[in-house]
Amino acid sequence: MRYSVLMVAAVLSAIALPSAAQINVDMNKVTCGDWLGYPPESQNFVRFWMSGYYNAAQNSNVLDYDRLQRNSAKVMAYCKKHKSQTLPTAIKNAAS
Amino acid sequence: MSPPATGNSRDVIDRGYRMLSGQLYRPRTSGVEKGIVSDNHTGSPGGVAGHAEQPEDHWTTVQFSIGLWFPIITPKCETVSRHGPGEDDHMRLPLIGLTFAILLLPVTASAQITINMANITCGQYLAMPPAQSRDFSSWMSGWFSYQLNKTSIDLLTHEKNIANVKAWCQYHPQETVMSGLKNATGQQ
Repeated sequence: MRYSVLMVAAVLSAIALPSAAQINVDMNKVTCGDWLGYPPESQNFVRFWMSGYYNAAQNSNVLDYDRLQRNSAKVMAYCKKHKSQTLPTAIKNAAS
Repeated sequence: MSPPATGNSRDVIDRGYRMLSGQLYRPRTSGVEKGIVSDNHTGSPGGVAGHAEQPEDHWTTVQFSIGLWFPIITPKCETVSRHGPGEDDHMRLPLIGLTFAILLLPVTASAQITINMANITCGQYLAMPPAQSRDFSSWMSGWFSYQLNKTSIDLLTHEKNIANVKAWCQYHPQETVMSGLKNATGQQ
């Protein structure tokens, strides 16, 4: 019984989100399925982190909020159909 | 906190005005929402302070296309009609001006859709509401991760870094967060 509870707890904590317990998150390895399974606050964290990362890659300091919203919607729609793909791949394929 | 907008501020205002006028020009009869102002009998643009037929109360609600609701105090027609026709016009103009000034402020602020993150100061960062502060911190984390050629993030370290930056910002409210972080990370 005790082991079952521990197993359930372990599984739940593994799928919940990149919580403080799961300290290191490699953004290159986050899959669409992972991202979609995160709670809204964690989804938002990844969204803004990615925005900052890709803006830096384009040597830009400017957050275009409308563009971010549009691209988030596109990536989310793409991710729902390609859950095993990594998020960077989804961004590359779906975002503009 | 109103983060600085990039681009021409006049464009921003124009855009805000177009968003606004799109609703305000709509005749009341076609509006599903109650209280959308039409100014059929004054004919003034926007007409938010005109004497469109109002219900008994003094409040008129204007719905923006961006989904905000704003109560605007307008005088009842009976109150104004105690004055002569000339005085009526004199009263109306300042009211229209005042109402537009009040209306344009929130619309202009919400129309600031591009933000130069390099210009956000520590003071502004500290004044952000929690959700906005989290988004800003996440964006900065992504931005500096690219600069440092990192793709993994340690969430505990991230939280500690935010606390450190905020502590530093307390003493440097005029500095931009990005310049502080650049100094701290050796990125120039």
